Amino acid sequence: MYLGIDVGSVSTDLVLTDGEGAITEALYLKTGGDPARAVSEGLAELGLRHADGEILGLGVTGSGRALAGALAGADVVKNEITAHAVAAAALDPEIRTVLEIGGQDSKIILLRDGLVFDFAMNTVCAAGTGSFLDRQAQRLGLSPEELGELALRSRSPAPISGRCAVFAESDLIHKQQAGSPTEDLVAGMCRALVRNYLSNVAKGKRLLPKVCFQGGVAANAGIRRAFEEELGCRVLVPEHHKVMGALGAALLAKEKAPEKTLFRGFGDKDRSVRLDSFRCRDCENHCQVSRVWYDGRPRGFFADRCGKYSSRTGPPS
Amino acid sequence: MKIGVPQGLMFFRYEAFVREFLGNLGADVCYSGPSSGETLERGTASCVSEACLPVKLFCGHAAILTETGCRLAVPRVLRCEYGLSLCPKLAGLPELVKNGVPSSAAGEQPSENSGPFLFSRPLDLRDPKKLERQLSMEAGDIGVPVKRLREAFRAGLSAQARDRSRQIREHQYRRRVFLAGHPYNVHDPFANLDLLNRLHRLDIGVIAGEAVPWHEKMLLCRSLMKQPYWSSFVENYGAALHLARERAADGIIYLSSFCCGTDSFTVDMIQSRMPQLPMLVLKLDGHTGEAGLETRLQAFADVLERRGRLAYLSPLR
Repeated sequence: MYLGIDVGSVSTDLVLTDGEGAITEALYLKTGGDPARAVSEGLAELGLRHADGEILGLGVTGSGRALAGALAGADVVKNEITAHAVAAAALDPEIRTVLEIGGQDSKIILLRDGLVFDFAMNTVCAAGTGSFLDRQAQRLGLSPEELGELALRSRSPAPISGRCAVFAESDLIHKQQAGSPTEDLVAGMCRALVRNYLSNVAKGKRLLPKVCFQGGVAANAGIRRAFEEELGCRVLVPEHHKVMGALGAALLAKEKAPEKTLFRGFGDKDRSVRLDSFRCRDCENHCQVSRVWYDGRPRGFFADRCGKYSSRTGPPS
Repeated sequence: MKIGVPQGLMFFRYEAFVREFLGNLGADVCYSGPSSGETLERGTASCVSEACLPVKLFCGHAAILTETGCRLAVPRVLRCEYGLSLCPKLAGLPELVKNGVPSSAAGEQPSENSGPFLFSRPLDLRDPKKLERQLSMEAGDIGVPVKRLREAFRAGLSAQARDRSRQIREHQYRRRVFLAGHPYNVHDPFANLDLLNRLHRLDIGVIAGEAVPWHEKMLLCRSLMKQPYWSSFVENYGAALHLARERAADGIIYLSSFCCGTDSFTVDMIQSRMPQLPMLVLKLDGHTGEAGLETRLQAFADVLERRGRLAYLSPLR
């Protein structure tokens, strides 16, 4: 069995695959501002049903991959673009465009023959990502899924500015106060988000079918429909769209097939995991080095520029 | 009198001149040293918030130097040596710095015309004779004979002409990219989060725009509908086109500062002229979170690898 962990800004996902690369178990947990705890809780939960020895390899990805790798002992640490691409290509080799919208990131990946050909990511701001949708859903008292369902019922979506999340929110509130029905507002918002994505993230790129839409926001049926309208083709949302990054990481571990995995075991939920950091003053970079403690002992270091500490994160002790 | 030189902005282009010129003056010169976390902190505190990262860094260097009792050299460079315009923020640099540095620290104004700083009269680098005259006006303020200043100026010019230190062309790596952008982003390892070493770790070497002679770059701009106005446009667009024709680069990494005006269209024009060349745009804004940067670089390295194999298989693509 291979394990993949994707530590994102909003969710931490764990996926177990069998020797063929099919998902046997998937966990989707909120990162909740504490990625180290999310990872160790997820591992402990899988540990209830599986023994450490079943795991032949661990791959980690996502913005917290260095942390997860140091904590859990990863055989492969890979960026989330390649991980998402690998998962999509395994799902259907004919996929040539991957739209991925997560909590803070949105990206587009173009595949040719199952390999990354080109990609782009959003730049500094999180306009048009999951956090914006979550916030608007919360403001309207809806769950993100309800928001998507509601958008499907709209007959005439309201025009909403999509360039900036702050302006979009003002626009939404103005139109709401002017009496637009909620379904038209949320449908307009979905359309604005999709147009913003296509004109910024996907600017100047040729989006060829099949198009696959993944990431947490793919659960939103309104966004999916808006993509289909704008692109004029069917947009595929895989069953495990939320955990595609973790699946990709597991597949990369399977591809590497380490002789002896560096995986440190599932542990159990009573173990204490905490993070701290210190400033290294050995050179003028003054890096803020992070350290992960497991059961009162330092288990790994990361975020140092020169690698003096992170290289110590070796095989399991 | 001690002359304080902030190591920011055009210092990265004209360092050879500055060091030789000031060294030959026989004055006491104090350099601010490389940018650091403190530079950014002080710069952010003393500069208008709309300014780009390199301007903030310059203000930080200036703020730190004023405390040492130096008289700051804050040049007002209007045009580069080839007659094209530089960023308007460089023309207004003395004001940007003056309004950030507390007036008591900026010192008493020694003379009506020159303000608190040295070399803040408008400097046009196109005509060496005129530039020499403009700089000579400062001789009295600095307290050196005009004759010595003129000799130092000539020594500076020839040092600048001899300087090859920025003409980076690295051959010893598996892949090579053209590292586009302003010299103060490309050559400041603090501003670009040590990009060159990050690329080296991914087995990617760098070619800097300075490695392509100006006349080659200008030649490739001739076919444009309108002749370029900005020096940085020629530097980047011309060099990108030249290196693509020479097949010297596998891709382009464009280092841009958030909210840079000239970069905004330069990036688009390079992309639309050379859509087949992989290009990654990185926006710098004083982020210290390096996860996002590392993700993009790793994914870009995967793309270069993939495209490299494609080009090998079908050279015409």
